[in-house]
Amino acid sequence: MAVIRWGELRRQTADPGLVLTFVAAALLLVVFVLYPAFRVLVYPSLADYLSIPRSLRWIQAARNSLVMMVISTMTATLVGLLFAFAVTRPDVPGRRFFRAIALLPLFAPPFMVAFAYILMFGRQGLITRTVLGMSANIFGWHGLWMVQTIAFFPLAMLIIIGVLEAVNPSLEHAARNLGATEGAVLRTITFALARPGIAGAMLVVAISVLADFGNAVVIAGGFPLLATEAWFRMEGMGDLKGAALVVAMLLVPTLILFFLERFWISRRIYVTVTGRGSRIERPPTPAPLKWVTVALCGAVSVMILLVYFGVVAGAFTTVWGRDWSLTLDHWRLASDRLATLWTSVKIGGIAGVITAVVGMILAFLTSRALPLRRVLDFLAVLPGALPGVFVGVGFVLAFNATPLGGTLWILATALAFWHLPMGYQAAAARLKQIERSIEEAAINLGATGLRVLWDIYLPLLLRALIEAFAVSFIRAVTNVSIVIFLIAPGQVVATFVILNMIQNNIWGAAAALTTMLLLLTFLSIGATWLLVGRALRTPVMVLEGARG
Amino acid sequence: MVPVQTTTVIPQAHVRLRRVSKRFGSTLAVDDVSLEVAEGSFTTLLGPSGCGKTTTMRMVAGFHHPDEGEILIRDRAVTGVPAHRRNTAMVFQEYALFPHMTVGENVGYGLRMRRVPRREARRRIGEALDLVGLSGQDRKFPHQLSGGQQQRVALARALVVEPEVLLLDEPLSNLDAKLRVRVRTEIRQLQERLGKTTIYVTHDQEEALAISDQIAVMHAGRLQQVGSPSEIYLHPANRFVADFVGLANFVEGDVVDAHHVRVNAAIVVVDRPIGRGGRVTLLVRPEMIRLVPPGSARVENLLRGRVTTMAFLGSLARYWIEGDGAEWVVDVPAPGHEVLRGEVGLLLPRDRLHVLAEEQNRAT
Amino acid sequence: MRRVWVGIVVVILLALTLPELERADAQQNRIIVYSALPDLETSLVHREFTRRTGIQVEALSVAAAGTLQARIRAEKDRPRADIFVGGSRDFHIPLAREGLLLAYRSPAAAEAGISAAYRDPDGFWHGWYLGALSIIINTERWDREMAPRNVRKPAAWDDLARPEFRGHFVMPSPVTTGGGYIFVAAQIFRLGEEPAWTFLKALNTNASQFTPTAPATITLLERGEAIVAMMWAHEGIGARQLRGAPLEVIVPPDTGFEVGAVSIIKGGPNPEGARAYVDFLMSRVPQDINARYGFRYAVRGDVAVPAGATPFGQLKFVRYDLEWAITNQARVRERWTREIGR
Repeated sequence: MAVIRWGELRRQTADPGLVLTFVAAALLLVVFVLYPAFRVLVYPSLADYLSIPRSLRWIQAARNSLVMMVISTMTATLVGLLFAFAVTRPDVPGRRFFRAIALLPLFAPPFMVAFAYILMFGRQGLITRTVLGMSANIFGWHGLWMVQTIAFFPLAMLIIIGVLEAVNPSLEHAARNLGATEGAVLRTITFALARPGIAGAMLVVAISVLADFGNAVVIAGGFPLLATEAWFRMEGMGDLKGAALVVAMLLVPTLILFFLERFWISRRIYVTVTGRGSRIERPPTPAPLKWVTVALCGAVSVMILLVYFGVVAGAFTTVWGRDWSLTLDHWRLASDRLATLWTSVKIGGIAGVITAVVGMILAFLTSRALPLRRVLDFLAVLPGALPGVFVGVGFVLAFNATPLGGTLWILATALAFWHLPMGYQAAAARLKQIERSIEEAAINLGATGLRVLWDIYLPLLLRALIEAFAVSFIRAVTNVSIVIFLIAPGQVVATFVILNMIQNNIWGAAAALTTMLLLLTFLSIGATWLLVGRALRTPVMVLEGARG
Repeated sequence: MVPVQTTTVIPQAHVRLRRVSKRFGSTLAVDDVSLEVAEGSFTTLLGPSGCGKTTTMRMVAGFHHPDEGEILIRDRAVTGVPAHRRNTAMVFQEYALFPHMTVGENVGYGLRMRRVPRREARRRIGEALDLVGLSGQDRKFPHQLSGGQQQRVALARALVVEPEVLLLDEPLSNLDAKLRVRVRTEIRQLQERLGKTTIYVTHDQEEALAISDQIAVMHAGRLQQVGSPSEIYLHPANRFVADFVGLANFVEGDVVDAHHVRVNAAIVVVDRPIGRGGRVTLLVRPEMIRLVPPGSARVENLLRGRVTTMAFLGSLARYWIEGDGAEWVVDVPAPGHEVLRGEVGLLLPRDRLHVLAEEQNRAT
Repeated sequence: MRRVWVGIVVVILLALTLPELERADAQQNRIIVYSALPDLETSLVHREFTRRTGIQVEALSVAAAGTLQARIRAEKDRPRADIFVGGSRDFHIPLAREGLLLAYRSPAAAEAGISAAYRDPDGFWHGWYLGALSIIINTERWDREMAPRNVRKPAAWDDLARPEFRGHFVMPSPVTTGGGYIFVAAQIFRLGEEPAWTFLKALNTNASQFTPTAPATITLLERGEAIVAMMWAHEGIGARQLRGAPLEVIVPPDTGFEVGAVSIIKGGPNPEGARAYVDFLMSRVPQDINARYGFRYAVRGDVAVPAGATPFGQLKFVRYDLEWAITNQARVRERWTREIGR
């Protein structure tokens, strides 16, 4: 807890605009982050909480969620490690290709991998049925395991790339010089140094797996999980109390993992670059390891390409699995639903603006020597720990009965504040790079607090701002875990329609709409690239929060 | 004939580079370098950044393999031997201490890789730490040590494996100026005590002069001159070496005869015979020039000039003097309170003057 | 320069979103419909409705009547929708009893001579289509996996509990869907409550899953994820007729049926439009669309029996105690979640 330094406050009140902004920002966070969470937690009574162990289904769901978390996290981290290794080794052929491919699942709508997996490997699957002539049940935990591994290994990869890249090649050279073989260098130096980073990656993946709603709802079948159970409770049975209980149950492990990652692991990561390093290339990778890596990464890359191929092909195939002739019919049906895509775009636009602007203002405020700024910082990163379904239920409980309910603003604000840690941390990271003396120069020339934000920081933060907008936008238009709770007539979004179509066997149109969504996503990435002048910095943006 | 390249007579070459070249892409990083390092000697590769000195050292360590030529260590060609099988321990510029290991584990790493029995390893780690004055620090982690201490750990880690050749890659560049001078003296003392053949890379000419038995000056991948510190300083092979090592006045002139050079109106007498006629460059170190009152009796090699700026540097005073169409830098050692102004005479000592022929005006 | 660009983008975005603020109150000529019918029929019917009345329809289609029922309850303080359409009357009646529906006796229904059995005497709901529960088989998988082992095709409900169907059976969840609940109620009427639960537990061991929406069951069956399903006959016939799915529909004796209803939500934004909507559904065109594309029986006599279906009158139904089914709905669902647990 921050101690209020009154002297500091008095000095800052010389700039009332700044203080007012601070109060407004704090209020926003309390209303849109704390209040919904609080509503969820107090909605069930103590007796309701105590009844949890008596419900067979919830115990089952909790157990299943934990089992999925463990197995999916293990495999996703393993695959992520493999990719990160391939990507950070200059002598591994195809490393750029692997990196590009591995980033694809990050931008796919959260149910897409599961959907494509059914198309490819289900009973009517292109691979399983048409090519291999097999017939196997993929619904359930094993299908979900496979799908979550593919959907979430990119997260692990990005984090582990970060730590592997931070391993100074000199250390590897030094070990070689001291007599270590290539294998011994990797074992005793490279991976030993990456170990805390790998642990961090596991925690981040674990949160994502726990909160995963989109894939689970499509492929888990009759396998109850906490994330899907919340929706089932509320939508199926109108049991808001049950939904609140389930998401509260889900919050416990995610919060623990989140704080573990933030306050324990991230402090243990070694900074291995001391002084000025010489730019030397890494020592060569042992040949057998290199080729095993290439083979495995190649196999996973093929899977990812199949995911994208499956969805696009599904949009043009008359009846998947039975009639492979090409058709445009699905596009006709999908274009009937174009209005929903437009709704998605509007919601994404509002969410993106809020995320970027509020994120920047918060980052600016927490960079000031204001009292309570640590509290503000905590509130700004907190949504990163909240599963989407938790936020969804929270907003239903907090705002559905207000005028906000049933409008697209409830959707937009829920998404915007859920994405806030991305915008906030992107801006905060950029702010740290900016020399404080630039600001001092401006103040020296007569600018006041807010003036400094507008004149100095806004232009310098523009890139971070645009990127925060883009990522928040993309994640908003592809979100399901929150919109599924807040959807209302007139505000039906594309992902909701697609999910319904998948469940109602209208796979062609679902694939066509998903393809449109993908086009929209890649157009946004392209537009951002044009505006910012470089590719989206996915690592910073994607990793900071918004899971499920 | 002036000996432009003075090769020291080497008792026994320990490390020998024969016409070694290394190319990275289209750039020739090391170009036809031949060098002999005597047993037990301290040889420094000196040059500006990007001159190929580090690459040369890395080839000795086995991190790079030469495209042409060969490297011999004690008459054995090591060109194809991988880095971990050469006994050439290296101290890295940024120390490259393993942050996840204690000081003891860092120092013992090479022994572990060599499967030295635990008992013996412990003893040798202790000895190595004693040697660098870090006894009892083995349980600390590198980040708990100061920069100078980290540097010593790196040194101990390299020495503990009893390398044939010790390689030091700019080991002092991360230390502050005072510490740098102290540690370099310690390194030199240690090296002399152990008699370890050492190759040292630096871009700091003062450091090179202070520490080395032999200096190899490099520029743009090519070896410019190999010689003892005094040879390099007093008789640089070319303008690049002269300019890079120490401060120098360069004055253009025309050869009159074997001992006389015309500089503008004046004739300068040189002790060492000049090989060829034509245009030459006279090299005069600032501390070699003596300043005399302007009205002094006319003796040989007296030029006239006018003080433009003076800087008091404690142990010496540095004057910038304009005279005879050239600008001179002159250092006056142990200056008193007296400050020279206006007209002065510059006395050039004939026995210390060095003449660079026209072709020596370029680096090789 | 970049600042200008971003400024332009922000202005455009604001311009796009601001009209949303006004739209909320500027919509007199619009009704909001919660539809438990699939997307296709819903949108066809609504297109026709708008063409005839000029009233726009904003629909939320969720093919699970229980879901919509829950939603209407949750919104009872601020009702958002005008109409609840589709799903059996079993879902409308509890809402009427809770006072969440608006009574209206459509003159169109009487004019069309629709049987009073299909209308609420108090006017809280109007039936406009009928459906019967059935056993549906994926013939492709049956021929490959069951036929060689000389397995007898199921002809009655009890056959579904036979061990050879273990892991191959699907049906919609009784908690979220009307079909699932009516099936469970039919078993209770057929066997008596406790024997019915014994049967349902046996069925549970066969079931690979209980789908949260009704169409999801037909999806799984059609894709061959299951071999046998309990499902509305019209869903199976529709999949066969429209998509050529390899399905066989068997309506067993003692089956259950639904009276697909429409009702007006009390306190909805546009009751006038809602009444027009109910009147419209009583007319021939929407019922014909529903029979043609949804393969459901119309309550009007002048609409043809859906292609491939047995006439409704020829089916053998269980003695369905509607009152019991309504009053025990919450309890039975609760017992299901407690004892079956999925």
